[in-house]
Amino acid sequence: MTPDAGGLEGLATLRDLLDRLTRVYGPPGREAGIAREIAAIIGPHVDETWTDALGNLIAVKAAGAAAGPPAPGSGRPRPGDRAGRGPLIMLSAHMDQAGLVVTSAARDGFLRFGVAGDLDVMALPGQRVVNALGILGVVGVDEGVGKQDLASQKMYIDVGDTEETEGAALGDVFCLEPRTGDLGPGGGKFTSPALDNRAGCAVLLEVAKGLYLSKAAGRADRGSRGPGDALFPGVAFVFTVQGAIAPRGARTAAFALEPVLGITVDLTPARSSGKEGSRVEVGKGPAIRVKDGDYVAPPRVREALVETARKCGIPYQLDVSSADEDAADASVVQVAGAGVPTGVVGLPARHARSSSPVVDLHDLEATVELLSRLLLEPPEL
Amino acid sequence: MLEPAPGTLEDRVGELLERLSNACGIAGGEGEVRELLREALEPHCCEVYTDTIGNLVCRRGNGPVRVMLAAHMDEVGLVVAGHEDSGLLRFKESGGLDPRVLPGRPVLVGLAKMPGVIGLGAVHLLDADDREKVPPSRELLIDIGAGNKEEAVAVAPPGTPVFFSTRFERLSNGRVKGKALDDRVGCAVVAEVLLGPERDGLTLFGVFTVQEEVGLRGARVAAYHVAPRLALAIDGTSSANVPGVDPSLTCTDLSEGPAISVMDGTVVMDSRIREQLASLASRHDVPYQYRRLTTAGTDSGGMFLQREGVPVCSVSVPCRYIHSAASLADLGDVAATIRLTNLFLDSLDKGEFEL
Repeated sequence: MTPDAGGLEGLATLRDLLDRLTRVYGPPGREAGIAREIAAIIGPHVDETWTDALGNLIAVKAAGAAAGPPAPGSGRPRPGDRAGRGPLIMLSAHMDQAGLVVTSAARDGFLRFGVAGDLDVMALPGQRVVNALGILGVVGVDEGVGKQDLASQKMYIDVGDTEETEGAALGDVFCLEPRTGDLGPGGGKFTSPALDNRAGCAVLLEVAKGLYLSKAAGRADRGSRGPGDALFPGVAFVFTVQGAIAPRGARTAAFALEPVLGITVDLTPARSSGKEGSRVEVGKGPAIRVKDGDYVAPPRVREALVETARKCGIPYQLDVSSADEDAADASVVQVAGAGVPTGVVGLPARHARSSSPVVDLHDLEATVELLSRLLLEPPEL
Repeated sequence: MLEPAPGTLEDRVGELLERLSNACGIAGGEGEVRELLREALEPHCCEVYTDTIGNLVCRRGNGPVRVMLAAHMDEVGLVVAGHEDSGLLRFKESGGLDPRVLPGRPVLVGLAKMPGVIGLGAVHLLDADDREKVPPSRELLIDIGAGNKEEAVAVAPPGTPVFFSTRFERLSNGRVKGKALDDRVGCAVVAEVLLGPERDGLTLFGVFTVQEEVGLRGARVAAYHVAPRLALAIDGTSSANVPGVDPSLTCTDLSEGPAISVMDGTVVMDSRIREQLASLASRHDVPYQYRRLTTAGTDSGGMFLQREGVPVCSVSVPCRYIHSAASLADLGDVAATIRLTNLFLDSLDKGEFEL
């Protein structure tokens, strides 16, 4: 895309949002902080937000009637009850980041850990990591361990002396220190350890802020598409838990919301130097997933995404993967409840499982545009 | 809570555990274990039923908060898969077995408990290389003394379950050995909790699940129809505090109390439940430890993604030599797990802990 003046302003906003989101601590199972941050941003743009039993943050902009009453006899209010609300489209992105879970706190200040999430062990030695209390550690490797024998059991987090381990108990989770940065002469590319999947969260937040790009909505008089509302179906923005490890939290949110359509936004590994693979490339637009190791896109959903991109002149690429580790939340959303047709839009990232993934802000911007346009004219399902 | 006289709880749970350990049931054939539990629990529960896939659901109380305790009934074992002309049996594994323990092992074939042995090449034919290797299970055969294929098929048709023949025994220091302690220790804990006091604030579901060892399957179905507000999985977990193992790699230490999980390969435990369990244990002098491994799975992983989501945590009894023919546990750990579970339920009942 050729960025015009407006586009550049959009990129700067996106960049600042990414910078803000990727600095918040939030590994799997410890998503409360990042959920609060996201809720504060999305709150003004939706009807209601709540956190479910597992910690998924759900923000709904409903068509027609707002939230239903508490479920009778449930003993506690049930925000998001389906009663009285029209159909919903669910956009989801996992909000947790990979972390190092402390499994043994030795007296010598060396903490053993297990890896939770997609972090290549090759990327770990020498990294600076922090826990929820901000305690700094450095990842070390046992003496005599060769490169080919590298495994998390042979590494440790060095938090200094014995006293320091008091603030780093068993079960604590350390995350890579949030160092963000811009790449390229005019910027446009961005790196931060937590891009997987705060980049997806940023895209959802921008869609919410634009609420289907009000400019575009105002431009054309589309007549009535739903019961007295330009937003029909409504939309649920779902920021899920434990998705950095495997597709998990999105399943229960989809069960509760019963959406008519689901779209998951997540990082997708892109080609870097070395071998000429078939994977997608950074800077060439959102990657509409055809399949991965755990998921095959329903043709109607895939075609709707492609058709929307074509019609609106949005760059896109098709992503075919056979790897289980590429599985996005879509694989569980689509089998929740009685089933949900679900698509995946990937944000291409180089060095995706390293400490420094790189995304192109233009790809994110194009994804915001693509999702907004799709919501504006949702496919017949 | 009134503390029972020293040894009482350990003795009572030891007797139940003995019967549970000696009972046989691999994934999909848990009937013998289920009947034993049903008989023990039916007089004390307001509702006991077996669901469509074999989970045994036992309800105590009718209070507003629905809590589920899960323990799986199935054990690791073998399944007859074919027959040689000689009358020897081919088999497949049910659940993740340690392959080192199979050769030469006495087994029980079928629910009739027909004795047999897992045969291996004769010792006088071994060359130096063979002595260094563990033969894969596809090269092993079960010998039940049958003279030919027809005889073998008649008494052990394909699908016949095969169990280790280890009998439960008490060792010194309150320690016990037996087969299937994973997860008959959990069954004993949940049964003992169900036999305890009823709590007005709770609807307590003790669920004895099927097919855990082959993919946490029964617990998923049970959590869907039980629809609990929160759940605990009580299981046996690996313990390797034996000579030669680095203390950071033991996972849990035998006799050091129940192991509270932080995460495993299937779920990150709910930190509120985890912290409540640890805090109760500290305040009431119940020994506890954290499970120091982030892989494998328990019924927690099956339960937490049901419906709108179920906050879960796993509490495990340390078991040495788990997933082998004979494992070893400490009745003190089992009793402490019962105390901790009861303390947790009390705190829910009194409204001291809410989700």
